[in-house]
Amino acid sequence: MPVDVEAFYRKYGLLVFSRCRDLLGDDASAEDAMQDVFVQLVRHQHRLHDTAPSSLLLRIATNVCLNRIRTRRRHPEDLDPGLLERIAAAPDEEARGVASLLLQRIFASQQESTKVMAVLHLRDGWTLEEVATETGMSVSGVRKRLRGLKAWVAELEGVVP
Amino acid sequence: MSHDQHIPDWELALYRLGELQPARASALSQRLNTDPELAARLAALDPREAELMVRVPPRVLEAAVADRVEQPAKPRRRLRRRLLFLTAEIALVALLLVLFMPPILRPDQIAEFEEHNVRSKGVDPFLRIYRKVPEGLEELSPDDPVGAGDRLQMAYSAMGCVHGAVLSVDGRGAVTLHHPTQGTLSAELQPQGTVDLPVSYVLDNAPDFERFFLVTGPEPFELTPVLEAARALAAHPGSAHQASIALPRGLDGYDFLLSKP
Repeated sequence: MPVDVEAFYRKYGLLVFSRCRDLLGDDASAEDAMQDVFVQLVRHQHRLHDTAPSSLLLRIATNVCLNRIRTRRRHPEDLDPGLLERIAAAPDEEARGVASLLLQRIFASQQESTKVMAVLHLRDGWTLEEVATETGMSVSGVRKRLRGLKAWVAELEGVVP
Repeated sequence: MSHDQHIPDWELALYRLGELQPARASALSQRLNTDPELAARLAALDPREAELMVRVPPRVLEAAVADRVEQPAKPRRRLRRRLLFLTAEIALVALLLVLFMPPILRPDQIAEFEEHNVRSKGVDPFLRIYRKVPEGLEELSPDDPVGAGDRLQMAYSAMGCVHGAVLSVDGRGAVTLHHPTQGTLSAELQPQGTVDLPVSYVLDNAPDFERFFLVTGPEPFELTPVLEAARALAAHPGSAHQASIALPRGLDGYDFLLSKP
């Protein structure tokens, strides 16, 4: 499925920008991240086939922003990490490969980014069923994947939906 | 989705696209019926999208993405830097056009050039601009001096045209869309008579001039390329008061210049 970046941007630009703005907190960072999202979209266009563009863009945007948040966390002023920072810094294998590995997971059929699921469920308040629908996985599959982040989010479970 | 749950803008954008999951979309629809603030935020997405398309024009984003995709080894060129380069490129092209276009054009080409660019008041559609004074409204003529703080009321005579937009550029390079004030498409014009725009406009302290454009088309047109053309014009404050605006094919523009001595 060839990507017409201009057409995709005209249709989905606000969605991507809003998601990035929501996670990163300011317009300038969101605009930079938005560019990353469309670069990733083009680089992985051969894997787009049946995936709904908005759903895919939302997940790419979430991943791109998590990577940026993780980088931002390296700065010493971030002494009190919030939920997003904890998810972004989770020490599973996704934390190693930065964008490429995370995106491989997005595009490679059944492999979905656990961190994206965690953000949707824990931060955005989506139910497990809604996360499952969004990611094309079963509810039990989502639950199982989120268990991998349990150690990181357990202490937060009392304050998130 | 509980009634107290905060709905982020991206979810509203997804809903607006008709691509939110059916269950969430249904819950959101119900909530929109009882939550005017949320409904207002949904309605505000149209102008926010238009603003985004002006702030980051689609062609600029596409070019920046192409740069990075085609040359992955190249150091990353940030979007803002790309915008800066584009401005410089436009300046160079505009300079070359100013220097070399007039001798090259034949009379028939000049006619065609004018046809697709700005025409002045006559039998064509035109703008009327009034300044609010203590006694009421004072109609201004082109080139009349105005100053910061003047409140202007604009009106148009569409002369049969039914789709249009009103915008302005100023001596500081700012572009302002006056009509319509929201949405991504042109406004429907009243084809006959003189019609006041619903809102007046207070001039800021931008120097030298304020140039207004009435842009018309035979059918509804997207505002983004029109605003992009205005931004390209406004990027050159030294010539923006008189240079042609490169409107998309099929659209016509009619200007009204006010000076700010």
